[in-house]
Amino acid sequence: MRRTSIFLAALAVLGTAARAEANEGGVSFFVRVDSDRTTVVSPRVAAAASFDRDRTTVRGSYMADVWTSASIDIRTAASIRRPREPGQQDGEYRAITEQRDQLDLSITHEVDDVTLGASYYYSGENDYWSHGFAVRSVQELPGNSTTIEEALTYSHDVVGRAGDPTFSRPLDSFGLRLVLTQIFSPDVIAQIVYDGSYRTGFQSSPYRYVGLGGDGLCGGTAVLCVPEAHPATRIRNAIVGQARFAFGSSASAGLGYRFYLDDWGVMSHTARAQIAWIPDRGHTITLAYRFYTQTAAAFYMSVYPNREDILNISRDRELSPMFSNRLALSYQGGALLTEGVTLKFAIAVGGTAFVYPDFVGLDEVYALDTTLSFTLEL
Amino acid sequence: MIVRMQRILLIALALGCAVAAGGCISIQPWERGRLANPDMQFGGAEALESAEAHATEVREGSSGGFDASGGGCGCN
Repeated sequence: MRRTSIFLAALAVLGTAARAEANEGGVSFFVRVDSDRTTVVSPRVAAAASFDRDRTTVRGSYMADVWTSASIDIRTAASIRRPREPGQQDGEYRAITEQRDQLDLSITHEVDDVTLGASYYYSGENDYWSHGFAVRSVQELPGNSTTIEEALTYSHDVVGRAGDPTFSRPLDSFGLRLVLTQIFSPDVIAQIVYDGSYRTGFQSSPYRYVGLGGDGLCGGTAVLCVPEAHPATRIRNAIVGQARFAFGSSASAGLGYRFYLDDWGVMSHTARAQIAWIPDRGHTITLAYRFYTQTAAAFYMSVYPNREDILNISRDRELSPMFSNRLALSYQGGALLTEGVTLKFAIAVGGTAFVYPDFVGLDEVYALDTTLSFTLEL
Repeated sequence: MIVRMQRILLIALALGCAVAAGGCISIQPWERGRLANPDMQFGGAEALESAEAHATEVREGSSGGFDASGGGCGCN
């Protein structure tokens, strides 16, 4: 599927919205810059339409993910393809610019206390294509204070390599998501989530090389450079517990925790906290904090010895031990334009510091991001 | 690894029991006004959070649990 197909699909969603009983359309714009020489710009358009006394809702969105990067991955890969000249500085590597397009379509239908849903996404870039499908069911239990959700997901990815039309590797992923949401009082709501997946196929980077011996860097003193090789299968498990607490009509707090474990040996803890202030009806200011820490994959080493008996080998900082801190401030507001027409707007600004205690060539990354969105409700 | 998996299941079971204990609570519809406000929603604002969630997920070894962040690579 190419961009023309995405455009036609978006037109179909908008055409559907024109016949709906209730409509919603919006645009948003995301920008992220970091100290690892990467900039991401993501415009997004979305539309939703409801029918049949709002029991059926169709949603669609298109997002472009345009990124320019001379990150550590690209600098390391460049050192393989184009050895550094004597006297050439690290910063002289050429940045790469690429675009990822993503289309999301979903439909939900309510039958009494059950909501059924199905969704599809397509994501494509010049060297990676992904199709994803999901079906879900949400039931409200008697008393309507408890909600249970089950979802099954499947995605099929094709991993390519720029400049090598013969390189094509599949990756399939099967997922299960279970959600239990409980209202405890008019001011307290809590939720637990289990999210598991089984992935099988190519899970390495076709661009990354690992230096054996020496300082572990292919552009450095490594004795030998070999392609990254991750295991072909991966079982991932995540459990989340989170709650929201309202303090009167003008303030609330939220807490969340995630425990993650996979069979590659990565174990992580994620803690989230937020406080929200509602200065006036329809206006919300939120301050959110997130802490994340993970262990390394069992086969990860910052510097591998020059041996032939190593099966799995990685130069992926996501598999190294790391932790991060993130702080974000957001504002969400709305204004009634005319009878039945509401404009909602939101802005978020955030900063994240990633720390890599055991990754050769990169110690820390600092990122700043901002998102601006406008939504029109009819 | 099996011990860790058992630990996950035990945590899930304990959390499930804790939440299920609240299953007998009945909150009347007219008492739910505050819970309908955006700051009490777990999903958050998708337009505000989806791109940032994807950018974060491709930089960590973990995924899932919290909100979905779309598909594809975008592994910049």
